[in-house]
Amino acid sequence: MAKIREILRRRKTARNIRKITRTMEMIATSRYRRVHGQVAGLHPYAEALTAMVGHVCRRVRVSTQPLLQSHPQVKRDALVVIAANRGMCGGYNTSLVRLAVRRIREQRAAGRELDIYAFGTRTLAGLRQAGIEPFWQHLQFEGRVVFDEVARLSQTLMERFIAGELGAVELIYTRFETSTRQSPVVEPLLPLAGVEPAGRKKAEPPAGKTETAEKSKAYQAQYLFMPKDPHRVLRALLPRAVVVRAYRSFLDALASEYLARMTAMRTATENAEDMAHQLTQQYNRARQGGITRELAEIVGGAEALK
Amino acid sequence: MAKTFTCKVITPEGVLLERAAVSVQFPAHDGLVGILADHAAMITLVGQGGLMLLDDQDRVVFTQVTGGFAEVRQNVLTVLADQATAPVERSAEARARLLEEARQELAQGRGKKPPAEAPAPPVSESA
Repeated sequence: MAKIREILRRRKTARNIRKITRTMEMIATSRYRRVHGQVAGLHPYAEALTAMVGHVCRRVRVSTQPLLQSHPQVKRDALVVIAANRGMCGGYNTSLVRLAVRRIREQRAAGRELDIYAFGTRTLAGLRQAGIEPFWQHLQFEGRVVFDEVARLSQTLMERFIAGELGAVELIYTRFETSTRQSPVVEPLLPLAGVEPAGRKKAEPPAGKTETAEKSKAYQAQYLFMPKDPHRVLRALLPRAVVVRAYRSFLDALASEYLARMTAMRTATENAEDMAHQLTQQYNRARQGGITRELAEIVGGAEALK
Repeated sequence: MAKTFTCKVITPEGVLLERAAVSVQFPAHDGLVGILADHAAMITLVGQGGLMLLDDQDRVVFTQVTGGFAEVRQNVLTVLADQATAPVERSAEARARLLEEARQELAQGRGKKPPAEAPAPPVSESA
């Protein structure tokens, strides 16, 4: 009897777990849809912005733009590590933190000093476990990415970069490639890369500086700029491009997190269902066994009385 | 038939507007800019105010934009707005009707005082 009660108790637990994980899966699904919509919505904006920056860069000397210059003499970099505030999402946090720790160790071995900006309690816990103390941490964000917050962070990073405090800024996050493929990546944020037309190096080596003023003017003549100085346009465009790139990374990370949680919870639900099913079978066997035993006892008792 | 070009208004939330236009007027950083087909290539900072698009069916689409950038290139105007309101579309008939209603209201407002039981909101003389 005790065994049967134990099986029933375990089956009840398995069923409760199934209910909880199924609910969590549904929540993750709905949040994933929302964030996925945001990712999809941002895509044309980011594409058009990058194209626009490319068109301006093709027409002006970009070597004077502080956000595009590398600072090889600065020994300090910033790393922005973005993982989740919560677990229950499979290997999402672990694989990202593993990549971050590897990158941090590599950079430190190469003699770089690092300011680590950690996003999410899981990031913080993972880094601390590896003996890495972040420079700055943000643990309040929960289930949403606020554009203004990302803009503030990017602004701080850009100011430090322009002031020569930081040599480079990298983002470590989970890139949302497709709904079946997400991978943790290290991506440079500053100096801003990938905005110049092909054939030019991102840092514009001295060759760019030898470009004559006449040639530069000829480039500009093909485009009207308002304000007239294209550098002023670029000074407004580039920070926006940095913010949008950072925002996109945060959205990607969030979409990947929800998708990972969705998958993890679906698996958990299936496992709980399997377990409940197995326990039901065990219970039926135990119950049948009990009935058979009782019958045998009754029959045995009746035989003894004869 | 007037020559058209493509006008796109894109915000970080998504593509708000994409359609053929005969003319588009939008606020640049220092004043209004009007764009027609075959405009020279141009990049400008966007200010704050109303963007007005007129299409070849004589419909007007209106949206408020705040900040951003705009580019004209190969007969495509791309406005990357930091923020923009949902576009409102008005056909030529609807515009004529609204104008007529506004004129009537104005004429009534000038002719006599509004009835006491339904006081009209204060309207300045220039409205």
